[in-house]
Amino acid sequence: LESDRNQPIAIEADQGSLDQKNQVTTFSGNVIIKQGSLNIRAANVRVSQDKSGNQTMNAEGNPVKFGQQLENKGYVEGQGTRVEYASATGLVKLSGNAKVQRGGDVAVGDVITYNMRTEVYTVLGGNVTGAKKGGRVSVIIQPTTVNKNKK
Amino acid sequence: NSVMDWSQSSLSCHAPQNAATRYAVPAAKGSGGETLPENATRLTADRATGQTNALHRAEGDVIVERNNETLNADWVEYDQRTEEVVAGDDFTLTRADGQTVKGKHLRYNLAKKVGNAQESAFEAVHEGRRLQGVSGELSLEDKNHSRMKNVKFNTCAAGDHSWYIQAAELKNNQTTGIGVAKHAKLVFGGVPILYTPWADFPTRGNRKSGLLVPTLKVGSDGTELALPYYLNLAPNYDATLTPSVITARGAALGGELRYLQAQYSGSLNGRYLPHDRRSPYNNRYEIKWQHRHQINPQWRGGIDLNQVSDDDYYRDFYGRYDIAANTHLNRRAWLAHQSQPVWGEPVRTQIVVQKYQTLTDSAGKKDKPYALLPEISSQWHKNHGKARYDFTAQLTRFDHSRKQSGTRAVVYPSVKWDWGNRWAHVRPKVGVHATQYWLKKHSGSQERRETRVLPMVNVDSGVVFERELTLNRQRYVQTLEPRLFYNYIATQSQNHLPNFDSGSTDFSYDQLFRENIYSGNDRINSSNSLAFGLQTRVLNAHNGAEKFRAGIGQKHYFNTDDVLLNGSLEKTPRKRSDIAAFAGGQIHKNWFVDSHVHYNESAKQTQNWAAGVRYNPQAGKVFSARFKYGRNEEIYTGYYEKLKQIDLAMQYPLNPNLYAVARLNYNIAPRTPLEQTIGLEYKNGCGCWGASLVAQRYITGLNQYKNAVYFTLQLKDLSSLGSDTYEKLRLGIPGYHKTNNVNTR
Amino acid sequence: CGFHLKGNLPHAVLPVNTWSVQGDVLQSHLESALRHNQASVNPNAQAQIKLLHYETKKDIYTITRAAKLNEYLLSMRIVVQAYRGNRAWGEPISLQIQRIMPYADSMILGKQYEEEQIWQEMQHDAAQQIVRQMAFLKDE
Repeated sequence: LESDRNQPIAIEADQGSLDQKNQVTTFSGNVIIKQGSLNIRAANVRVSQDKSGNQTMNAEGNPVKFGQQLENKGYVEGQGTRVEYASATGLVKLSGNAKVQRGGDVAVGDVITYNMRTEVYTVLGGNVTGAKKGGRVSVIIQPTTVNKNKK
Repeated sequence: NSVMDWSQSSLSCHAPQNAATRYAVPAAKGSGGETLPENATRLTADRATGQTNALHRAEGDVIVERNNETLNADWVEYDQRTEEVVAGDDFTLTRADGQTVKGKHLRYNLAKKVGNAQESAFEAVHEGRRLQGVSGELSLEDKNHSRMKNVKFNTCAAGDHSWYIQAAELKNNQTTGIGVAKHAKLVFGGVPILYTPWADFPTRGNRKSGLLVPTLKVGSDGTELALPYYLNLAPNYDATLTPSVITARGAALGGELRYLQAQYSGSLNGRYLPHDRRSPYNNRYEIKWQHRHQINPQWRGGIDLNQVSDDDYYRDFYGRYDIAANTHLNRRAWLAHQSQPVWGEPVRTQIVVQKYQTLTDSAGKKDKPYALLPEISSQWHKNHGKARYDFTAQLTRFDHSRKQSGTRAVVYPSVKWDWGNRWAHVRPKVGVHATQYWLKKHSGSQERRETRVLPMVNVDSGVVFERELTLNRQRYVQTLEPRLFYNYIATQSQNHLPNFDSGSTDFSYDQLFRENIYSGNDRINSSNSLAFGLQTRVLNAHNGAEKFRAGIGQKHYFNTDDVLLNGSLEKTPRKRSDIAAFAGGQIHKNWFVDSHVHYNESAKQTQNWAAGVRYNPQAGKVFSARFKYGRNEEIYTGYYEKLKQIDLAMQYPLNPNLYAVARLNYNIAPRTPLEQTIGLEYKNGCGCWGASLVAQRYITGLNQYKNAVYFTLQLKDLSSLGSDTYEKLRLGIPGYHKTNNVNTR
Repeated sequence: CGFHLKGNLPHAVLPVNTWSVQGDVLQSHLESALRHNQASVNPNAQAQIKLLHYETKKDIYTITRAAKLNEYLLSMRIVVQAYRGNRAWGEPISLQIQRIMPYADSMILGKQYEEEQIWQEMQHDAAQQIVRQMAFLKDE
């Protein structure tokens, strides 16, 4: 949600460190981050913040899992071995057995980029990214009636 | 050759060897994912992008799956809101009913199952019936309807383009199983041989083919061409209109209406020929109406109407068998009733109104039978312990333009006992045959009443002996069955009684053991006789199936009174009757024989005999020969003469696809060929079309012949073009096997 | 010459005494054939005989040199199946029966009666043969 950005962030981790000068914090070991409806679970996370307060986050894990409430009441969750999230653009990029689930719709592939605001996604298969020969993409779309009554 | 290329087509075809080539249009492949919930759509591809509840696009070997439909394409755009899919450049779509369409640029709505494509190749298999082809523009109108523009299609196996139909438009309706083609041409071996502006045909077995089926007959009446149109009026009735032209006679319009309802069903056939250049008659017609009706659980009824406009109709328009069988055209309406049980058994009653239309025979003679206006007959029987009680009654009003008319009532109660054990039986029967006539005034005789009451007593008895028999290493059980049949019926001269419906039956082994040698109820032969018969059977020792049977019998007259067919009382020439014998069955693995003889002991000569042999090693390979001799047979009405005939017939496989058929039916004295038939029957290797060509010369009357050439082209599951030769060959060649039937059973 | 009264060889008697008959057109003939072979008919008997196929054809067999009909060939094809409990018992019994009926246009009404009588005689013959073959059913 837009409002997540001004929510307090609660972070748990085995250990954390702060690089004051570059405004980069890193956490590692069962990291759990919660900010409003956004929650992330990963092995280690690196969060950096630019001058105007936009955060970018890189998380890795086996896999990294995240979930967030969307503007129009849908709830999205996703996973992947690496997750990059830029709050300025609301763009999430998952790579490595990436999976995004939104209501009944499911997208699976090697690399998935998902715009939280416009709900536009792209899924690339291993075949295309070269990660895995014959790697395919699968997108399951529920009939629109199902999503409507989910609101 | 690519799936799309149907232009070149040769008659040779290669039957699909392996599964891969079994399909003209391989079905779309699935993703292998687990089954989806209803109406969910799965896109599987190399890359995909899209927006939830909006537009999605997948590229790279895309597989779209939804319910039980699968689409493969290079790229696919899917609009989630409208459920519409656009797929290109090449696509393959397999629909819920198994039909597969392949082509370029598909636009398809997954929910409504509506869409269209540019060029397409399609294939549908339904209950063993195939429909495959290519088309320009294809539009899928809903789950069951599709429409194709400039299409080429056939019902053959994959890769077999030996014939196809080219049509400007083809509409296919899966529910009714009917395809409708417009401006259709039949292209056979690359050559268009037939055009029709409109035709429909069954894509499933449930309907007669509507494809234009020209009956092609070339014969002594010139060429006969009939072009039937099939009108599929409603699920339970259809009609066929058949305009036809016979070059030597004129144009005609034929028609058939078939109807099938829960309570009643039937068919009405007719043909009308306004002007016939070769006959004195005009406005010539024929009507055949068959109707069956289950009125309610007790009452059933039916109509059997056959009528033609003039006496020459059958001789002019029909083949040998129909001419022979249609001297009297049956016009009959009947009701049948089954009552509630009376003493435990129902009374069955039939009410019949019947008036034959009689045609003069080739010698110009006509002998009209009586009309039954009406006839009411009832039967009741009951088994009680060893006894069987029988009661039959009949009331008939006989009407005839020239002969004596009147009403007759018959009552015939009887009781029959059945005593017996494993090896013997004795079955006495006692009955009374009572008849009452109310006769109208007729040439000299006044109106009068006549009665006839005859006691009937007979005893049927027999013993069965058995023994084991081994013939060329096969074990059999052979029986020996002597039989004695004593029959007593009081003597009464009947020449003062009319003969409405009685006829004489020919002397034979079976006739020895019948009560009355006359059929019908007007003549009852007098009898005080003992019939002796000896019969043997050869049964297969494993399952008891009867392989062979032979018998000989003769009757001894204790009283030589003999009522003739005209009712007068005579004496039988001798104390003993003629001798009747028969023998028939399977005498070897592939050999069958059948023979019977009637030997006249007083004249010391054979009255008639017949013998036939058939060698039938496999279906489609049969040789048969039959000889018949009759000392005094009716050649045509009122004229009797010796009849000696031989009937040779053959069906022989020249190669697995080509069969020769031949028949010679020849009257030896005087030397007259009755039927000469030769023919060839071909079935194409892939079983997609078959043709038969039969030439026939046959007799239609005294020294009157006709010749005809029948050509039939049969397209698998579609229709048979040309006149159906099967019926002619089945009758002519005993053991004939239809070899080139390409229709799926 | 080796003949004995029927009964010495195996398969002279029906393996079961009471039968239920679903004979359709052949019902009364099958019932009387069973009675003639010392068996009785009972609708809820264990053993059952059922008519599976009954087909008749009346074909022209001989015509004279004036194309006048001389003989019809009446043929009948029958298939029946025996059941024990409701399991098929033995192979289906199939028969082909043929009779020649001389024909004369002048006696067409009489020929209608004669034809009906011949069909009845053929049905009687078929029923006797069926019951004779039923005696060969293995009594396993």
